[in-house]
Amino acid sequence: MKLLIVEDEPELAAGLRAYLSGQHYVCELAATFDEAQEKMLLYDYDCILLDLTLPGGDGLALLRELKQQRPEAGVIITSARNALDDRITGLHLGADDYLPKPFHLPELSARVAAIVRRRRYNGTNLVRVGDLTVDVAARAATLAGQPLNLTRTELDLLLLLLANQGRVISKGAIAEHLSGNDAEQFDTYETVYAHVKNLKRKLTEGGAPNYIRMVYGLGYRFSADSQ
Amino acid sequence: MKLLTRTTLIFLFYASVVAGAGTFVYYSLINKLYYAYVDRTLSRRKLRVEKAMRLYLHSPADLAYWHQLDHNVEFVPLRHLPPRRADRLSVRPMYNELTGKSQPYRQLASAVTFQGRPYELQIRLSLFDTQQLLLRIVLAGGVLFGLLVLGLFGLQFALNRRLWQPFYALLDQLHKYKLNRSQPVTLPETRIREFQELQDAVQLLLRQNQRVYRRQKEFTENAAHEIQTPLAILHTQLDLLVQAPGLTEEQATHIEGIMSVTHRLTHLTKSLLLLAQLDSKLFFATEIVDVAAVVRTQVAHLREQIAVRNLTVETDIADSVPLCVHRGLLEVLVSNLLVNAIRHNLPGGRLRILVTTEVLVVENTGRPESLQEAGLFNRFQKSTDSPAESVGLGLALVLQICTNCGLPLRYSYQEPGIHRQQVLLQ
Repeated sequence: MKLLIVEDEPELAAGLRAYLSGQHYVCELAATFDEAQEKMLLYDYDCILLDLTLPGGDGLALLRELKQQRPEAGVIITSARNALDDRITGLHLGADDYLPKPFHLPELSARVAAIVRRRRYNGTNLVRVGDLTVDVAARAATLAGQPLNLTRTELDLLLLLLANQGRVISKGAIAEHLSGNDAEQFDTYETVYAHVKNLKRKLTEGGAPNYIRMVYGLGYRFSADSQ
Repeated sequence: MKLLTRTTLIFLFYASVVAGAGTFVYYSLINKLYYAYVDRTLSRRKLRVEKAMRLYLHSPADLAYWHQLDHNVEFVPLRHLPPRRADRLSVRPMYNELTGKSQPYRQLASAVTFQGRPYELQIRLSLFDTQQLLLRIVLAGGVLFGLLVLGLFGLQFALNRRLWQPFYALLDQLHKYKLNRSQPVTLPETRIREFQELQDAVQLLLRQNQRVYRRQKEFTENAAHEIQTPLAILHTQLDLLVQAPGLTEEQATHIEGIMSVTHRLTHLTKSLLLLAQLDSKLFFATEIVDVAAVVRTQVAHLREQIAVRNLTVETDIADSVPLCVHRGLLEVLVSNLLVNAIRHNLPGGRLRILVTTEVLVVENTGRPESLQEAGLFNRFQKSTDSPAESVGLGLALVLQICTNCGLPLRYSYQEPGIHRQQVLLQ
């Protein structure tokens, strides 16, 4: 699966590529408006990460052009600009998602996964790990054919974990993913602990292996091969 | 009291005093003149009567007969002549046969001798008609005075209105003026020097203010934007760092420390950006949002935090409270109110949440001091019991959002240790 990362900050671009390459994506970088324009229109990417503030032009203009040429392309806007306005404009122009900077890599990974699923496996929106199957469209999970009774939040959490298998997801990333707003956050992660604990319990009660492990105090890792 | 009313009142008071006193003085003067005239007439008549007494009157019967013919001349016999022979002038009421009423008369009394006998000669003149006349004259004068006063008063009022026009226009503009709206204040031309100076001074003041404000706003926005990118890099690098194989526990502790600081920094810039936007923009796209649903969602999000602090939650939330508002702003508003009420609560304290179509109330137990007095609506104001996690922008944001969305915020601290925030949803 091919991704195009349009980002003028080299440090950031390198970081995104490093993380997403580990998630089995092939990543290409574009640091300027012209470069991005050229690559976008020449190749077919599964998903394009588009920074709006680019040297040489406005990312929104690029998006407009892309949507005329390749209306089916999946686009995630990443921006440090005025979130409230750009979000609306971007989504209006046909972007699939909007992620304001700064964001967590696992969050980005989960959003990329969602777009790729939508484009690739049209309709059969299933994620499988061992006996565990998640039907994203129906928002239901089954374990060895038995339905898992997960709450909405637990399912969101599971999808985040599945999109970042083998990776440590920090508590902060999980907290942000679950609350998903700009409100005052607590530095304490009771919410994260509680939801992870419940999800783990439901999985193991259903007979699944111990997929979810805590890594020191930092965060959690979902590993399919954990024995 | 308005300036115009005040000056007019003072003017009116002065004018009334002058008009009243003027009328009185005028009346006295005319009265005096008239009496002088009457007295002169009476004196002349006295001379004629005395002449007649010498030439044509022969017996006391003639005197009585004269009085019969002319009631205004009377001879009253005296015992003896008074020592002082001066004429006495007086006003006396007398019965008038024609009108059948007692009327005032001016009378000249003079001691005379007729055929060796002393008499008091009384010559009279009715004042009645002339008094009527006098009253009419004075009335006319009074009316004239009144008209003059009223006219002047009206003229002054109209003139004042016109003269003060630039002042009121300026006042009106200042009322409408908003610092975050960059439109200049336009003022009508005026030829009055003081107003011109006032306008110039105000314009200069506003321009300077606006410049300072714009610079500050740009700084906040730029700073927040410029911080976003390094923060984004920091986030990415940290997310990559925790993936490192063979991480020791000690390293993990350090990384966690950096992560939590990064988290706070992120939140701080987000809040600052939002504040800057709220400051600079007056209009946010609105939609119909169900406040009750938003509150329920936010309460659900904070369930664990509530549980950890052992808080008793009482909720009374209406089924649906539609409100035309920007969804994102409303969410920030509600969650900030709730987070504050949880964060500054006492362990095992109470939290009351009430949502009706009119009002959203969040009430919590807390420290026994009013937040208002502690200045907690100010930016970066941290309370003494506040843990390090708070950046101190929560209530400032709440206040700013309420201002922007036109939802009045009422904070009340009635009983000791009970803090109540009310957002009126009208």
